[in-house]
Amino acid sequence: MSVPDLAALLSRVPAVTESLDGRGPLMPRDDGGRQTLVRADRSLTHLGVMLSSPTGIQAVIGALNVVERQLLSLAVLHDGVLRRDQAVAEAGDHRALDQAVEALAGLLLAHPPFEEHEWLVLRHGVGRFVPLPGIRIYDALQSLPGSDLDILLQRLGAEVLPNRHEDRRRLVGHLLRRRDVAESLLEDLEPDPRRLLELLVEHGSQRVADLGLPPFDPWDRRGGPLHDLTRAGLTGVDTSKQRAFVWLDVAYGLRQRMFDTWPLTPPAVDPQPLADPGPRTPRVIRRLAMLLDLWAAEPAPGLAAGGIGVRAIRSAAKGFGVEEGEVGLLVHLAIDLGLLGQTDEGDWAPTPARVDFARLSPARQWAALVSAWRRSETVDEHDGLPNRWNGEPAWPLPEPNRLAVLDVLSTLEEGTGVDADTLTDLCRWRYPDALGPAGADAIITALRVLDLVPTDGPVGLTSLARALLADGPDGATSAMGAVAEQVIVQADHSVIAPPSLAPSVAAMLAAVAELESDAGAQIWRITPRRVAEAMADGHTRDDIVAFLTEASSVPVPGNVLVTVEDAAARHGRLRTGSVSCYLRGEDAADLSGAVAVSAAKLRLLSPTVAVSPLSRDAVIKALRARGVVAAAEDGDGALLPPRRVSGVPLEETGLPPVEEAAPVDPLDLAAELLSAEG
Amino acid sequence: MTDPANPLIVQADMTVLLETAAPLAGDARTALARFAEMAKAPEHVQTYRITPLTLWNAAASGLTAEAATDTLTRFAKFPPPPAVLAEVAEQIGRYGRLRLVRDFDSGGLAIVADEPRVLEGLLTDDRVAALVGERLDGNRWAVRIGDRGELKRLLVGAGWPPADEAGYEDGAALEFDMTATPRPYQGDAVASWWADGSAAGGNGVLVLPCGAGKTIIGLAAAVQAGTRTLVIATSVMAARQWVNEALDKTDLTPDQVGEYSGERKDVRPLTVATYQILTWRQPGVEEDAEEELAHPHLSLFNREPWGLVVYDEVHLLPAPVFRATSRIQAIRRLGLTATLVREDGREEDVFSLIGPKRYDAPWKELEAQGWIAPATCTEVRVDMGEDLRMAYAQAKSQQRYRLAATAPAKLKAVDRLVERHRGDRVLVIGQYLDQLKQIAHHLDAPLITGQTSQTVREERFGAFRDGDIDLLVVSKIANFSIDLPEANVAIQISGAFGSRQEEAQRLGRIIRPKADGGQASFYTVVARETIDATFAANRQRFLTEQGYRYDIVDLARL
Repeated sequence: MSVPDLAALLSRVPAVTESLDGRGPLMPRDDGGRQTLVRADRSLTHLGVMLSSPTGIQAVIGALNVVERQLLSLAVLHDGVLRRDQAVAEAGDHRALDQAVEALAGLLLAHPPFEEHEWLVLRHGVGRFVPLPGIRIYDALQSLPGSDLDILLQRLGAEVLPNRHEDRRRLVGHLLRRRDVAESLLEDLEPDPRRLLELLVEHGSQRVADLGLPPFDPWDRRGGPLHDLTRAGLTGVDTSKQRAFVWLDVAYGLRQRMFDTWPLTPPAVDPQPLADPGPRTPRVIRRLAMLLDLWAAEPAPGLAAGGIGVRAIRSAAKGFGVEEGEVGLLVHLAIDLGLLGQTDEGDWAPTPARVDFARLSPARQWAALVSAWRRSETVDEHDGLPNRWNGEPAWPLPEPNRLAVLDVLSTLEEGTGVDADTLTDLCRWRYPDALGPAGADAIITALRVLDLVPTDGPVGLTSLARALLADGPDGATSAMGAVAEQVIVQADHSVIAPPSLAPSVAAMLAAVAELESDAGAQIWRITPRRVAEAMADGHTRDDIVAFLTEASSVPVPGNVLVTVEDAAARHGRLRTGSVSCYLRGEDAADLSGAVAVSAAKLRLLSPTVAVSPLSRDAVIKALRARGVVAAAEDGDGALLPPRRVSGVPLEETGLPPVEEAAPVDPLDLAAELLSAEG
Repeated sequence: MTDPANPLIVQADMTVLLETAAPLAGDARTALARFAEMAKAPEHVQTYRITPLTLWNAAASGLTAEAATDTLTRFAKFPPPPAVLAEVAEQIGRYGRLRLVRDFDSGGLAIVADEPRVLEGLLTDDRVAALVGERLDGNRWAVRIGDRGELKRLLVGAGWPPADEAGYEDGAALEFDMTATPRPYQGDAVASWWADGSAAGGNGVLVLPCGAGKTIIGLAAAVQAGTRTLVIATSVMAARQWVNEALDKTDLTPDQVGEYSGERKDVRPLTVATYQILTWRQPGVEEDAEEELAHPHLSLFNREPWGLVVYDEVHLLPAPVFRATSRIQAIRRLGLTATLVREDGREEDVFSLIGPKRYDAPWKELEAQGWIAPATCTEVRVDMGEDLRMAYAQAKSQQRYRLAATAPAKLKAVDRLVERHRGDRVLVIGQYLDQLKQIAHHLDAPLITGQTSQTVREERFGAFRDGDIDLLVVSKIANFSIDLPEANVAIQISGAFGSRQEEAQRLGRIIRPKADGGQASFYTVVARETIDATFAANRQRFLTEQGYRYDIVDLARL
């Protein structure tokens, strides 16, 4: 195999490349799930091992486009050898067919043809991994006794019966695919079975009930049209699901085609200009930093099962004003990157790795996030973006879907994008299996969250994303340009931040200002409320003033500094805390006496009010033990009737005395019941 | 092309940031202003907004998509988002594909579509269909003359602006000339409105700071149009100032200039009316009566062959005048304002009926050129006192502003400021009559409010102008169009909540250029830590966005 051919193979199947690099999903693993090969010993042998393995073949098949897939399926139906005229009969004479055959050979799924009439010859073992749109008779007859097989072949008009069982099964399929044989079988049928067969050929598998038939029982002696068809070897029935279907070979014989359509070229694309904000620090880095800050200050409560629940994620999303799926995705990625972990108490908080992560350049932080997303096994976009984390891997692994979308996006012209539906159509043509019924929607949302595509408008890779995907973190670093540390603070309280703002500056800015526009350069506005919140979060007046003064490339206007001073002056004037109960009294001397009772753990807030972390009853009890009597009151100050306290006899509460009844002895009761029965 | 030293940052949301300190900032601003409108002009980074309307107007004046995208690319720091360039090209390309023209056969109008399917698509909207008549031929549909404004408004709303080539009615001729030479920016403003007399011009709004001579611009526009002109002003005082200016700055004679107000009903070749008289409602007329019946003076629009209507302080345009304006689209229109900020958010209606913003001069730029006086803005903070603080804390939210705005401590601040500016010409401006009366009494200064008779008002303003009195206490009636050129200190003690345009208009009272070149001082007295201070911060936004800075001081440090 030549270098370009091998390179073409590797580029078509990134999973193979990455596995050779020691990272991908195809690396052989031992029983413990550990890779048995490492990058250092990669070789063609290893490539061969990978490509000949079931997962390798599946990975290669997963990289085929619709035409290649359909040709492959057609070849499998024809027992692994397809003539060009057979393909042309269905798809028309088109150069795309020859290109697809060349591609299949290049991907080592097909041999060069041995004989003149051969066109596409599948490699041994490939066929069994090719998903087909139905069941071949070859597979269905696997357990049929040889004698029955002979009878079937004779009925189909076979003149020579091969010796081997599999060759006889193959011959059955071959005969059924012949138009004359299939049509003569059809003509021999009674009208009812005939109509039924035509319906199944035309519309594919159907529920038995939908055919107007009673549940199918193969041993039912009364028979029926479906029984006739099944006995004639034309249809099968999945009795557990009660679905009837026609064998692929029979359908092919009657229609002389396997597929209704052959989309030989990709869907037409109407490229639209992209709202690419240009080189700038991706917002996702700031969002991640905000999330980690939030949970550093107050760790997210862990679930009893160990995961993170929807409440914590929803609450963070509400605070940031974003969708919960966005926060959910960041949570998954942060856990995968080791930035979030579970504390001894079971809560979730940033790990020490966060410090090292923050030291990375914005481009490297972004690259790490994107890479984590590509490999994430816990995020399953088929279900939308996650709003909880439980550590369970998705199956099938979602990575190929993401790579499929990224690959399709990379084929669009730079600076352009397409709408989501077109992207889905493109993906379905290029990677028919990748997206599933949910389409590309959730993956597109993830791409928007990760700043690989613009926040709004057509979907297309931004210039930065292209740099990252093509040249890795170095490419992104270079495309992002120098990191800016300076902003412009203006008298209208706006702060203009350049697109490539350092994450540390952006994080502090986010603490004291509200983001007004993020359409390239960012426009923030310093507001009294935000500054007050920053102070409540632990920033001091000096911190904020120093930050603004150092970060601003122009002198900070006096009125902006006054806004900070005002917030600082107000900060802490009203305070709140958690106490369990209070004790109040008009006479300061009484209250002082009560506070002196250390068991009540009272703290004087003012001459007439004291608070305690103990419950109200505990305080009453502790005070009473020292001879200080306090009455309980409700929130409106009304006195409450005394509550019954454990250990205090009921009669002392002032309630009417209760007549005590003697306990019943079970034995006595039993004897009584039995004797009554006689 | 793009260079980090360049002045523009083109944002994906169709705004453009202009860094004023960049070497090419001046060139970039000139090129950008052709198809973008200035949204804010703080001291370092100005914000321009590109809208379909600005692009259509640029297209109407002959700007090509290539020229616009070239400006964005040539002066940009970073590569502009492709979607912005595409949107610019798309919107400029839309202009002129629908045209409103005269139909000489019927004497009415016709709308012409270069691709009939465009208009056919728009006709699926019932509101548009109701205004478009029968199909005259392959690509022309009939339109009634009276529907011109409404149809334009709807088509603009639908994203398909028609090129209005139906032209204007010239009105009865009025030949007159200016006796004063307009300043360069005044000339530029009129030229950009007039657009060489083409159908693309002749309507629109000019935004200039208070004191920048908008009256002169209005008169110069009338001279340019050479036609009978109706000016609508905000009050009788303002109307009389227009009349006086017309007599002073043009060669019009008194018998050519009339006042149409509650007091006089003179209709002359140049007539100045007030919004109040036009919107005066006939007593006893039912709510749902026709507009002409309910507001009989609106007929003034049609009573004379006007060739131009000038709307002074266009941001205050009341709804009936809006509606009347939509019916007179064949007459040239000019809106004048310092602060195109409508607290009701109806700026777009102004644009669609009067016309687009044609000129916008940043306040600080005119200040630097010496056309308006430099001003310092200071917020003076006073404490409310313990008793009042408690009352304020316990007051209902709707009572709080009044409590804070009329805090007695403000009197002390006014005292000290008046003392500090002894010898200057000081205006004390407020919202609440009780407070103003108390201050006027305390300072022994004349008071002018809405209750003051017109004669007394004129007398007191005249005395202030002549220097006979140097301290005047005024209510919100002095917010607009009161010409007191020598006033150089304004002390604002209360206002209409968080109104940004009121703040700017009040500053405008004192920034007319001074004979001695002196500067103006604008003080806002606010009660600390109250809603008064919060509103003050909001009110200051317009001026800070124009590049003004506020110093904030305590009364104790004054």
